[in-house]
Amino acid sequence: MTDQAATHGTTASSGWDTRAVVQVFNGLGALTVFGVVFGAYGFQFILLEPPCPLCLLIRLGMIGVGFGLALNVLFGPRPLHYGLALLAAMFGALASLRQVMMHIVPGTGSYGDPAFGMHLYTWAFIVFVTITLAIAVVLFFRDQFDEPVGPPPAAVRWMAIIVMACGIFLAGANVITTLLECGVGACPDDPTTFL
Amino acid sequence: MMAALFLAWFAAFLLAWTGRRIASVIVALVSLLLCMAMLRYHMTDEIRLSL
Repeated sequence: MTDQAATHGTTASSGWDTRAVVQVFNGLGALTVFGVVFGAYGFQFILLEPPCPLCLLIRLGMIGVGFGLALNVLFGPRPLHYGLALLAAMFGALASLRQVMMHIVPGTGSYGDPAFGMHLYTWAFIVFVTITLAIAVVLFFRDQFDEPVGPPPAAVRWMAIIVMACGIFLAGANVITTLLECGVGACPDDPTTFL
Repeated sequence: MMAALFLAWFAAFLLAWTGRRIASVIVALVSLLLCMAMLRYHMTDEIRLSL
């Protein structure tokens, strides 16, 4: 191990350093939020629950968080990417909290069926807060912002391909399904049909 | 209108995938601003806060 590698905790022979580990961690985070959007699609097409406007805005927040984290996987960790993910997480938390507050008074009803005891917008708020905390912890590791000493491990490259493919698919699929549900105008507040 | 927001994120992903990092970030930030505007649009005006 070279002096530089020892200083920065790198293992040059394998290519696994702090930067690569953080990239994989970012990829797992992006896949988590994309998984939530896939789950929302499950509710839409299996349980036949068309998404409300706030639900779609929460999806946009999830995709935004995933985009910021995906940039970290694709181009390497940068403060700009984390900032973008945090802004999207704040937006998503605001949208989901707004929907929680609409139904927080007992007897005011809810939107959709609960999953594991809570509604999707409540889970979404928990996910956005958790992502924010996770990013705060990951930012402790300063070594991730060092210039790379070599090409990233194959796992990081594959993670970048998978994350970007998921993001492009989800964003593109939502363009089509949202267009079919809402058309070019504003989405109905209480949708009853889709596709 | 909501579909246009997803389209903007789709464009941001495509720009990133093709290596245009800064352009993708700019598109993403604009998308985020438009998302905030859309959130405000879908909020009722009957919001009362008691601080």
